[in-house]
Amino acid sequence: MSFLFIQLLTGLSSAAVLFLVASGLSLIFGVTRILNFAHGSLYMLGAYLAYTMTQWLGGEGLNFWLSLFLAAVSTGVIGAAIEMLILRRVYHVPELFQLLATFAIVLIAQDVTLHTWGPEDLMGPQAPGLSGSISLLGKPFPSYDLFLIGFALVVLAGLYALLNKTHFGVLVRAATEDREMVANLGTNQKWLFTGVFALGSFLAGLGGALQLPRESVSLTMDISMIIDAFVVVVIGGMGSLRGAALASIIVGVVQAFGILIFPQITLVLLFLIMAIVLVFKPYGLFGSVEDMTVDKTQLSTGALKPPSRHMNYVWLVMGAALLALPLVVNSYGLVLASEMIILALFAASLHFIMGPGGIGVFGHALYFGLGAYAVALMTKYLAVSMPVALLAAPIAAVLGALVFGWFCVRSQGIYLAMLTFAFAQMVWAVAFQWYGVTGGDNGLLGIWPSQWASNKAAFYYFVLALSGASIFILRHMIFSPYGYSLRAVRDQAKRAEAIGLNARVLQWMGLGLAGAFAGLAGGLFVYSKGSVFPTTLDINTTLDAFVMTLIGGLNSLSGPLVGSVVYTWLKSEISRQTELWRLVLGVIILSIVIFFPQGIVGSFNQWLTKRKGEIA
Amino acid sequence: MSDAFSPPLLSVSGLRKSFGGVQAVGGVAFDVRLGQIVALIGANGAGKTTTFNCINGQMPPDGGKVIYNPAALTTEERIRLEREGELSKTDTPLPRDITGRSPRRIARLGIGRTFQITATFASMTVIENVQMVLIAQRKLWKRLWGFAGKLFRDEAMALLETVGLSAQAERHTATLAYGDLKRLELAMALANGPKLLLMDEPTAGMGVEERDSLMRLVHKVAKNQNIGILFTEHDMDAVFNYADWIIVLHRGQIIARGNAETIKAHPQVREVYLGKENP
Amino acid sequence: MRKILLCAAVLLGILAHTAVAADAKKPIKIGYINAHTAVAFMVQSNSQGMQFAIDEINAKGGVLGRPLELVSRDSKGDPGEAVRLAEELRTRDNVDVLINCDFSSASIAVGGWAKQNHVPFVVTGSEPDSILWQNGNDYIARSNPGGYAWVSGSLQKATEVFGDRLKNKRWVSIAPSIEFGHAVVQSAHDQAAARGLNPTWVAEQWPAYDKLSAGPTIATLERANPDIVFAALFGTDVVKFIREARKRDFIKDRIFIFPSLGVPEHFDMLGAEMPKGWVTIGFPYDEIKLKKPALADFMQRYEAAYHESVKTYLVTGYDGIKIFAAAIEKAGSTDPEKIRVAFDDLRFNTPYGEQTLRKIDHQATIPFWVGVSDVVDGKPKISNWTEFNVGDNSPPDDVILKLRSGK
Ligand SMILES: Nc1ncnc2c1ncn2[C@@H]1O[C@H](COP(=O)(O)OP(=O)(O)OP(=O)(O)O)[C@@H](O)[C@H]1O
Ligand SMILES: [Mg+2]
Repeated sequence: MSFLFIQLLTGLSSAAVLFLVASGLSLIFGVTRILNFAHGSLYMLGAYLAYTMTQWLGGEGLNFWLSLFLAAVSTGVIGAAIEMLILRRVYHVPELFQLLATFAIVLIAQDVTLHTWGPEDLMGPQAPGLSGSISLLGKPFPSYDLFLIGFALVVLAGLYALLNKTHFGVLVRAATEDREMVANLGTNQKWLFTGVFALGSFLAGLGGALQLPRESVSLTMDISMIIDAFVVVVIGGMGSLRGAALASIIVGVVQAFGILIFPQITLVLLFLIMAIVLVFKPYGLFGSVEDMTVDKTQLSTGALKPPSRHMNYVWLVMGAALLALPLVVNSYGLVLASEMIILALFAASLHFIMGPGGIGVFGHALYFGLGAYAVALMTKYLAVSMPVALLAAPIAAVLGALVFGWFCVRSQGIYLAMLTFAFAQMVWAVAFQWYGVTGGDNGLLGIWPSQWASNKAAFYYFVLALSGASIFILRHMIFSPYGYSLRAVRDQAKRAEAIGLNARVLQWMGLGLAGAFAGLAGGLFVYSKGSVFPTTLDINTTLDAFVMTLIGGLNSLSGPLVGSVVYTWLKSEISRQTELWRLVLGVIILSIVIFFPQGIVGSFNQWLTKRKGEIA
Repeated sequence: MSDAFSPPLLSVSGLRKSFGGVQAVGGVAFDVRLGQIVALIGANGAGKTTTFNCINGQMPPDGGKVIYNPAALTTEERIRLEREGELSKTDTPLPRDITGRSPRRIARLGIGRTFQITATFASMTVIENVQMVLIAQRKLWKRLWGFAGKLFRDEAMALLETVGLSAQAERHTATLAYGDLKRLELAMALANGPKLLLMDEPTAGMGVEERDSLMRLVHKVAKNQNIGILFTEHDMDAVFNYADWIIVLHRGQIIARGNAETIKAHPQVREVYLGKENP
Repeated sequence: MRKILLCAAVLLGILAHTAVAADAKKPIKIGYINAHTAVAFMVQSNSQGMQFAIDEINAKGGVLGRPLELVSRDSKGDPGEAVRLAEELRTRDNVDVLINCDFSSASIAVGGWAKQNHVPFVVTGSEPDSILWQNGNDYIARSNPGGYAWVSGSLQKATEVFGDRLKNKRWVSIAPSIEFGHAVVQSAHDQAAARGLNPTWVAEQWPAYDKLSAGPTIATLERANPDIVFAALFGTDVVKFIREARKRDFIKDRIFIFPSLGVPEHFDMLGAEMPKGWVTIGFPYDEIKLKKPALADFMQRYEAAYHESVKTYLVTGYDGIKIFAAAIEKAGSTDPEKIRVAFDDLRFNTPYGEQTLRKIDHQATIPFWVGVSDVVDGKPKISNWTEFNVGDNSPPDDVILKLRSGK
């Protein structure tokens, strides 16, 4: 009994910090509609700043608390600066681009932090007076944890008062509930957004600072926290403070007890909770459809034209160039080209569902990884040959896409994106922690291509043929009756339903089709590496696909192809040149988002059209 | 042609819908027959669009019934619907309760609509918009091969011809004038081969002449193809010249119904509605 | 069409750029794959150790008259990326051999690639033994001690310190759910039984690496009421575990065997909060150097050059370069097959004196130290330490050979 009570309190104390961070994220989303991926970076920054402050001021007595407070305030100021310098420039771009911009900030923050504070973990002081424990029901319980619970309640009450009793709070609530009102605020809108960003960042920084007595400050704090915070915000309902509070408690407590019952799958649990909640409440506990005035057409509005005969001819020339490639480049060139082509297929599949499909999928690694693991498991445990194993890749991915997709298409917008993310993370966690079958972090090794394709040029041709055909099919499907119908749903869901289209079935199919091709890409990827790893399923793979697709441009068919080639190349070249590749890449992505919100190909087209106009 | 003794194609009764305490529609009842043009009028916020939304399944009503009577259909049409599983054989001759069905199933029964805020497929050309409807109507929307752009072009062109948009066929809807968008809406609704057409302010934003020509077209279509039409409109000339039957909504309640003369003479209508616009 | 042209131009430009011409007279290039952006603290000192070794060797005229050159690349800790980098380093940068400091998954993946592509490869920062055993091959060598040796030394030390207090007791384990954790805990199970300690394992926890939820985990372990805690955590998880364990009175009256506790990085971080009396490996360099003049000399040289104290992965990085220098010298060329053969029983110089690469698996049979954690004058310390050697703390040769043959 006392054990359960202590476990409950422990869960609540993790919930406390989670709540601070998540409530900030939720507030920011509610008002600005920006899904701030950099929120985890602000949390990390809060922790580092708190460490530095305690070093300056000393970690004793009041100075300790002053340090924490100053760290949180500084984080708030930094957040406001980020909003004014960067995010103000991206409010007009589609929301997935905004997500991309905040991801670029994460990259930049990682390198800045590394170079400011150095690579080693730092351990701050204990909280003065709260470093011990008190006895509850005969068990010692850390007094600091108890303090955190109380503190979070105070913050919750403070936020309630702020939102309900002040002018600023009224504006925040109005903005969260009524989008049109925000547009009518005029110049006040700017300051409202900055203010909310500062407040949210302050809360993130506070959460980070308060971790100082509990854990060492490290460079990986950002990503682990942002994922947890997203989960909490999505479970609670985006923009809802109550939701963030309740969801933090659910997550904290369930995890505390989960460790007791399933010590092996601690990671899966978090995403399982999220998936279950979203299946029953597609908009989170306190969210509603009205919160989700996602203008899906914004994502991609461009008209797509089927390739003209002329263009097909150019494709042929290009194909010939690719066929001749092995005569020109060395084996690394072939390896890189194979990888680019595989990733181009991966990106094209994401483009299919995000562009014409209009569905912001944020877990595309799921299908890639399912395909990859299908190949690896078939090879390891059934010892089948490469062609058979490769056949299993799209099949496994389609099955996954259909099962998970069935739940996904019940949601919309950000929730749908987060649901795909939850499923991807769940499967990642299974691959990562189910040691006996998947090989855990090591993955499964020694899966090389069949003899006839083991030569690098042969493998390259194999990849080229399969991916080329797949990309062709994907492109063709965009112009098929199905592709048009999918686009109709994206353009105007109301009308699509009114003419008899079944939006859910169309989108469900879309996920299945995109999944199939992503799975094939994953299968090919395994053979190009000789192994499969959980990283094929993780958030970085998702982000890579996402970045490749968006920087290429959603409105054009060649966008994902250009995007994957450019991004893969940029990433490998920059990291050859500098250790600060994350900083450089971040700046490049930011520039693309700010200056070329149509993506590379989209902007290129726009420029061409404009030039033509000038000449004519 | 509108035969008062033939069974109504659509019967709405007791329809209610509230939004968070505000009653948008409060117990509305009326019928629409084949070949009949019914106007639903009322001031802004009277509940017209909400009524439409409840009929075509965009929103589930809080109460009341929407009855669609397949007996008003021809035998061929009934057989098609039976084949497609939209009507079971046993209920063929009986009126069918379609309250709260999904818009897509209601659409398949032959109820089409246009939207007050035009809702076309922005990434497609004018003709592709119509082709899209034809593809949906022929149930080809799951087909993964072939070019959609090549399907039903002639048919789509003929429909554009009907509404006078054939010259704009290859333009993008984003570049169309508002009036043309409204015509496109009509062409799309007609492409679905409706037996009942709901039109939400079909002539809003049009000039007098344009409006008149469109209403003439609607009238022709209704009478020639024997389609029931329910429309909302703020322009009283259009209503009085073309509607066979007029229903006046005020704050979600029907306050008057009848032909043009009855409505023009109705004291309450004059007071709350006409009074304001034609002082 | 213009899109396609753009696409083609970009692709061809890139590929042309990657086609690099080879050049005859050149330094011996060592491709260094590291998880710089994933485990920066480890890689930083590791790469300094390598550079230090290279500077020293080049100052003395290089190897076979050719200077050594390190070409460093960041794998981000992603094994897929590590394999791509291996390929890139080999065929684009024309490196002769590969060395790494990375997550074990990346080491294993590159190891497989090394065999497939016949490139000698030295691992300098991955503890799981499967790199050399289950997944081993003749192209791989390793300069750092493995998990088996850590456990073996730790259990021996624990027996020495606690004697019969280890027998017939309730044990629990906590380790990250990665290869390292699984391998070390498995070793602990096997070796504790083999030593006749007759343990009863009553609970186990497998937190995700870097994501330990310390409070609930410790409460759950405590509920099993263990006498002995076997732990193998790393990095931030260590701090969380120790702070929480102390507050929850989990430490009192229990024996802790925590091999990974004593790496210098943890020492620096924990400071006076280092618990006392836990069995751990350690690097009491200041005391060892009194017995090993070579080490004293090395420390003096290094500290003069970098103004920094010596750390674990620094020495393994330094040793890794020394292994290649000795192997190439012995092979008389940079021919991969010759280097692979030269690995067998290779003798090379380290800060601990001359050491050997074991023939059967190319493990460096270097010394390591196990002692008991302590705090003296507010500074963490390892006391009562004993020197062990990797060579004496390994399974019998036939076991290793069997694992390597994949049976
Ligand atoms: N989705 C909704 N949520 C909340 N209230 C709504 C919603 N749709 C309509 N309403 C409200 O219901 C009432 C009726 O609206 P409706 O759109 O049906 O009016 P209308 O007669 O079509 O007006 P108009 O002539 O301006 O088109 C209005 O008060 C409106 O604000
Ligand atoms: Mg209306």
